[in-house]
Amino acid sequence: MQALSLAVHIPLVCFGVAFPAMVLYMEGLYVRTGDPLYKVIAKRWSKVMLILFAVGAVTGTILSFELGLLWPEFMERFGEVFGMAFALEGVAFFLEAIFIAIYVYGWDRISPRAHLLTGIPVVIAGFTGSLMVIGVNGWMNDPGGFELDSDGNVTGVNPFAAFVNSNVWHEWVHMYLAGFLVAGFIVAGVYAFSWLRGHRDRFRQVAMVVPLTFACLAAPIQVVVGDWAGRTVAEEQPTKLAAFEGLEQTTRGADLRLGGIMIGDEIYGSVSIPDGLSLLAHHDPNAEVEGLNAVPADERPPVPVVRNAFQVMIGIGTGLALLAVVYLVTAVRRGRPPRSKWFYIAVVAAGPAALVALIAGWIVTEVGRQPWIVYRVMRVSEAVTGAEGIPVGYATLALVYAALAVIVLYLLRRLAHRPIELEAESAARGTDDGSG
Amino acid sequence: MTPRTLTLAALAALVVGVGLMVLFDTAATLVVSVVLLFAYLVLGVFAIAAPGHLGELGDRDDSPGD
Amino acid sequence: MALAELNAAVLLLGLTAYAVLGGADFGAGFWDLTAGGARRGARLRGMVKNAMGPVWEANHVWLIFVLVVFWTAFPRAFGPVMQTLYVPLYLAGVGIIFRGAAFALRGEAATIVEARLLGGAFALASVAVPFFLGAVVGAVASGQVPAEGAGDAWESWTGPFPLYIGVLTVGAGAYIAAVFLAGDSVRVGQEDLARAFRWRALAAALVTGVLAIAGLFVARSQARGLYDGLTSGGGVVAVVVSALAGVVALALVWREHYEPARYASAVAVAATVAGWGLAQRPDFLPGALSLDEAAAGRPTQIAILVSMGIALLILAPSLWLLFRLTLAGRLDTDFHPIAAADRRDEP
Repeated sequence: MQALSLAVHIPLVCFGVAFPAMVLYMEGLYVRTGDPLYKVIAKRWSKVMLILFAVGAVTGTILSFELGLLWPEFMERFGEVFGMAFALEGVAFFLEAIFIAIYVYGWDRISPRAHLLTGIPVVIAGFTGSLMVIGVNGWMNDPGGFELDSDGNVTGVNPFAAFVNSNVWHEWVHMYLAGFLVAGFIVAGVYAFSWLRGHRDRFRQVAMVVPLTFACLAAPIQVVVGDWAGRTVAEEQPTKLAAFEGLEQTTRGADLRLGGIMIGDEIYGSVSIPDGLSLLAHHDPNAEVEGLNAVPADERPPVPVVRNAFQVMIGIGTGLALLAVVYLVTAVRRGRPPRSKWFYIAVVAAGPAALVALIAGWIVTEVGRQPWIVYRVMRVSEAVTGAEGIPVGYATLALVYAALAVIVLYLLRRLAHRPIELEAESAARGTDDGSG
Repeated sequence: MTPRTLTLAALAALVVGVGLMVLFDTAATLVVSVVLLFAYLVLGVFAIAAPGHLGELGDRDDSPGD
Repeated sequence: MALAELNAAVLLLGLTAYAVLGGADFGAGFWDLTAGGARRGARLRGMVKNAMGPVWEANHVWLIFVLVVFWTAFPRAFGPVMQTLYVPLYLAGVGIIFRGAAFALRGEAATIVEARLLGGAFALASVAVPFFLGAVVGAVASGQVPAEGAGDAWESWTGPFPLYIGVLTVGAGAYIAAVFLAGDSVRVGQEDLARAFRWRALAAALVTGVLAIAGLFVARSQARGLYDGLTSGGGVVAVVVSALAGVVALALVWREHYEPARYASAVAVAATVAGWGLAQRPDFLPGALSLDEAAAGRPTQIAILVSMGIALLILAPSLWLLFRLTLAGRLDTDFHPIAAADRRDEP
């Protein structure tokens, strides 16, 4: 159930952390050039931002409910260790809620410059908020900041030490960039789609180029940051890394097996790069990489799930980076995006692909930690609630989310179909109809 | 700054940032590289999605497809 | 000792803010629900949407605030509460999804069916959520949550006292909302709506007041510890303050001074929440777990207090800005009635 809520919440988070920056940039262009087109786009996006933020706020609230409802034992024992970060995230979120309201409702009511300024806390809050939440996840992967006494009770808690763990930094940078990839490619994809359908005006061009630029700049460095993440995982959670790669035996000079699909214990259709894994994980072709056999069978994650998800993430990430390079080179050399129809098709596909990669990446880190909820301290099975009626709750929640998704998409679609509000600038009303 | 300087600055930040991140493994270099990579992102956006570029995008300069 | 109480105070402060601001929000939904048919209620609904628009998200973040402080500062109580009261909490959670989503999306609804569906979901959930949350509070206050493991999933909150608190919460929210909305109506120059909300505020005040007095008797039979706490020491002070503020607010509404009435009614609700806290001191779960037993370790508690202090420094000015802009009408949108077929929205 938590997984379901998270799967709904995470994409919304991406928009929460990355979209404000794009909206703000767009408004910055307006303030700088005075061209009303930028303002129209920024204003329109800010409405979308508000809707997504609201839904994100709701799913976030549900998540904090669920933490208690589903993992009472986990919260009871460790709430004091990592709760701090959540409290700070609550503060950041609060700030975001306050300023997003001022921002969206303040169009044309406060001076353009002041309005632009009110958007800045939104960006900062998204930035710090994501850091805090990732701090908790990092802690679950590398628990610290407390001691266990002989009865397994938590003592000597140090909330700050718990927060500053070895995983938080790379997870955060990785997640933050993922936010830009997902939000950027999805927004750009929407406009690329209408470009393909023949709606080729400046409004759509601008609205596509800006988020696309954000996403394409983020894509190549995401690969590099991913490499950093992989190295840290290799050090801190070797079993997890072994699961990424489906590496059975501890090996010196381990090969990297790219692609393919893992069913049962076998990997089909992969390409081997000799010593590749050792090189990647430890920057040394002869380094020893710990295999799954280093831990007892009941402490291993479900390897096929993790490995396949990992390959999906890597594959899509590489693809997006290639697309990004094509775009960046053209943009820098020609001062415009590529003109090929295929490029636009690729951009349309990039949005959903980024989303898939995001979910896959999340599966990699979460399922890769199994069977632990707190790495090598507490098992998932020890933390879960014994309450009855979970299936009923799960089913209703799934229905509710499905309905929610349908409604949101439907309404966003109509919002996009409204005629462009250029004329709305002068005649502040008359934006009523959307017969698109 | 002109888009050209911005582009060069972004590229420089990218190269140094990636270099620090891949080749070294200490806290200080990681922090610097992350800062540089974010700088590259911001500079890059200002360089590529600059008003000059956005303005000259015509709507009819290609339509062989349809 | 003092540390745990300070943290409890932070928690209660958050709860108070949620009860006043969130309560007003839920109450607005209550008036939306009871506004009547599509045509008759259109102007009222328009006003509700207008008033809630800019502030509702900030109002609801208080709940997240309360939850995180709860589990961080009092993890030992958080587990049992969640394990015992998961049914009303789950229902409240589903209600929150519906409500938030429906409200956010209603502005974009285009057809009659859509507007009705979303509006109905919003309004119904607005009544259900405070009811269930109130029931949770009632269950905790009447000592239905054991310290170890799970209490009965149904009986714990379906007794007379928890249900009564649920109803009281809905009533208090409706009252505050009516007072706030009357003030907002005056601000945007809708005198007829101000009058409509004035009557609603008076009626809700009457009902809630009677309920509150009756509540003392319910508490005496159902939650003896709470009753004793409310009729002695700090509890009495809180009850008296609450009653006085309630009467003052009523008089102010009667004489159409809505702005001061806002604050007086907020004080009344705040005093009630404070009274609850004082009455059950030093227990967190009455009869089962004291504040100290429920509390997290010292470093965590200090960390919370420090970070909340910092947070206050950042949030207070921001909130002040938001409410100042809102109350000054700077964030008001143009007033539109929400009839079923109407879909103008200009955020």
